[in-house]
Amino acid sequence: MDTRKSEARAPAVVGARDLDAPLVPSTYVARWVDFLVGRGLPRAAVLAGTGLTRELLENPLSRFTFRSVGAVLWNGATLAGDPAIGFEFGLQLNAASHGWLGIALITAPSLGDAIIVGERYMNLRSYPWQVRMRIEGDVAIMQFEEAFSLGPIRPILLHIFFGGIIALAEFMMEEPLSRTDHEFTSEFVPDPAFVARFRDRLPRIRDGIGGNAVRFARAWLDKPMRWSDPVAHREAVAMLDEQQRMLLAGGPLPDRVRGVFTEALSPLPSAAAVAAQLGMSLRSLSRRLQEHGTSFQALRDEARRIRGLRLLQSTAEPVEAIAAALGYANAAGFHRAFRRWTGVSPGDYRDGARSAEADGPLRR
Amino acid sequence: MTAGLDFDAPVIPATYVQRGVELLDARGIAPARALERTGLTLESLARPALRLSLRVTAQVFANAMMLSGDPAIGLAFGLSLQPTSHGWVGMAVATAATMREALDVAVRFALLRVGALRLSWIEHDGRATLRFDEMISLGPLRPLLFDIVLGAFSRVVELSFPPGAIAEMTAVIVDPVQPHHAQFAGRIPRLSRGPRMELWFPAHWLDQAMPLHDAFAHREAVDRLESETLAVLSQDPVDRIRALLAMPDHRFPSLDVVARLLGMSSRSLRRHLRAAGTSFQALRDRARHAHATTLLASSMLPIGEIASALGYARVTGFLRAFRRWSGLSPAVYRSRMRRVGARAVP
Repeated sequence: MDTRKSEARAPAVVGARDLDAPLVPSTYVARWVDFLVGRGLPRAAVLAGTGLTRELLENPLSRFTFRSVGAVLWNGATLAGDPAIGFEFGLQLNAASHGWLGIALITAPSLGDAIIVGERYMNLRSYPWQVRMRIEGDVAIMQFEEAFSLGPIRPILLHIFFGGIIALAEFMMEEPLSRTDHEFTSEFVPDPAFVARFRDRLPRIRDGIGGNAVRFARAWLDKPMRWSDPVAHREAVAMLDEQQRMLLAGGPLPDRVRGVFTEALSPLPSAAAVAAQLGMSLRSLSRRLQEHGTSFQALRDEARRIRGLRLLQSTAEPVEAIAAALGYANAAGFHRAFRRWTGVSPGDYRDGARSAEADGPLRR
Repeated sequence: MTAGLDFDAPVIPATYVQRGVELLDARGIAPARALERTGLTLESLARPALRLSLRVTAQVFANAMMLSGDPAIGLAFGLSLQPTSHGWVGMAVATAATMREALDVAVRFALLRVGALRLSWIEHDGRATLRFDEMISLGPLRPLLFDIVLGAFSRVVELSFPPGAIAEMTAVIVDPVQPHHAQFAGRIPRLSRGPRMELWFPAHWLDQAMPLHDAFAHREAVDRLESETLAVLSQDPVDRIRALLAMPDHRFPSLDVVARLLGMSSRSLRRHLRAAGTSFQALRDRARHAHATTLLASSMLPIGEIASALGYARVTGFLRAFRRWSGLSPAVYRSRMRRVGARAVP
C-alpha cells in the first residue's frame, strides 16, 4: 500500500502533549515485540533506541507514549522488511488482546450494540482513530476519524488497525469479510500482490477519498452474536466506566468532556455545567476545545447521537420521550438532527433495525 | 488440604445463582420465589466478589427444578452459560494456546467455580479423558449438578471447535440417563453410564488452538486466579486477606467487609491477624502502597484522584502515607518513573 494523500488530510494537530502522554497500553507493545521475535528478529534490535526495556514491557499496567510506541513500530517495520507486517500483526490479534473493551464487544447482544460500546470506550485503548457510525439506507458505515497527526508511523498503524478490525469482525460475525458484501475505504490503496496475499480475508478496498471507513450491510447490526452474555457484558462495561473515570481525570480535554457525557444522566449537561465539573471557566473550556480542533457543540452532538441510537435500538421508549431525554425541546428538533446523522427518521430507523434481520443481506 | 470443602463454606461465585435466577425470571418465575429459603435477595446477589455456600446454591437449584417443573433445567442452564460466564476461569480457558493448556487451567482452578468437584485429565490410547471426582458426597443433587457441568462444558466445546465436534465426544454419567437428555441431543455428547463422571474426546483435539488464544491475556487471567485461589481457598486468613486486598476491583475494603467476604466475624479476623504478628491496617497499607505506585507510574490521574481512589478522604493523608512508605513524595516518584518510560524519540 502506498501513502499518498495522507499528509493532505492531517487534521489540526492536538499538540505535542499527546505524543508524550503515557497512554498506549503496554500489552499492545509487548505483543508487537513478541510477534516480531517470533518471526526471528532479535529483541534487542527491535527495542534499540526506544527507551523501552523488558521490565517496562512486562508490567501489564504500564502505558507508553506515542513517541516510544512510534519508535518500536518503526524499528520493527524496518527490520522485518515485509510491507504487510502491520497487517499480519493486526490479523492475529483477537478480542482478548483488547482487554475489557474486547470482552465488552464480543459479549454485546448484537453488532450494533458492540459498535456503540466501541465508539464510547475506544479512547481507553488509545487508538489514534475514533470510530463514528452512521447509516445510509441499507448500509452502515463506520468512519475512522484520526485523533491526531501520526507522521511516518501512520501507514503501519492503519494496517494494524484494519487487520485488528477484520480479525474481530470474523470472530463476531462468523464469516470472513471477503465473502460478504463489504467494502473498506482506505487512504492506502493496496497493490495487487498485497490483495492476492490476503485474498481470503480482505474485503473489497476502494480508494479512500472520504478517509478511512468500513461499509457493511445494515442488517448486520441486529445479527445476534454467539458469544453474547448479558451479565459479562454488564461487568465489562462497568470496568470500562471505571477505567474511563480513572484515565480521563487527567487525559486530553475532549476525552474528559466525553467522559462527563458518558457518566451524566439525561438530559446531557450544558457547557456551563461541564465547565464547572472540570473546574474551568466556560470561556477557557471553549478556547481549549478549539485548540484541540473541536467544540463543545460537536462533542455534545456526538454524545447525543450515541445515546439516541442506543435508546432507539435497545428500548421501546416512544420517540418523543427519547427526544426529551436527549434534551431536545421538541421532537421536531430531534427528528431533524437524527436525519442529519443517519439519513432516516428515528421511527424508520427503529422499524428498520427491527426488520433488518428479516430483510437479509445487503442488496445493491 | 484447602478450606471450602464442606457444604457451608462460601466458595461458589454468586454470579451463577444470579444467572440462574435470571433464566427463571425469563420463564416467568419471580426472583423472590427462586430464592425462597435461602435468605438471599436479588439485590444482595449483585454484590461483587460475593460467594455462596454449596448448601445455598443447591437450594436455589432445587427451587428451580420444582418451580419450573422442568427436569432439563440444569442442562438448559449449563448450555446458556458462555465462557465469559465463568469469570477469569473462563478467560483463562478461552485464551489458552491449546486445549491441552486449557484443560490444565480448568483442572487447576475448577474448585473456584464448582466447589464440590475435583477435575483431572489423562491422555491414553488416542483418547483424552476429563474426570470429575466428588470431594463431598452430593447425594440427590448429583444429577442436577452434573447436568449443569455437562451443559457448560458442551457450550465451551461448541464455541471452540467446528460444528459437529460434539458428536465425537462421550460423556459418562453416574446416574441413569434420563428422557430429558434426549431434548438436547446434538448439543451434548452421547451419554453412557459409569462409576464416575468423565468426558471423553479425541486426543488430537488437545493440540487445537482455543478461540481467544492470547499469551498475555492468558497470563493475566492465571495471575488473577492465583490471587482468587488464595483469597477463597487458603487456610491461612492472612493469605486470604492479602489476596483480597490486592484485587483492584475490591477498593480496599474495611475490616468488616473483608470479614464478611471470608465468612468470619470481625473479632476473630482481628484475633487471627494478631496471632500472625500483623494487623489489618498493615496489610491494607501495603496493598495501598502497591496500588499507588502503579497508578502514579501508569496513569495520568492527578495526585488528588489517586488519593481518593485509594480511599483517602484528604490528599494530605495520602502524601504523608506515601512518604512513609517510600521516602519520596508522589510527584517525585512519578516524574522518576516517567523519565524511564518516555525517553524515546522516533
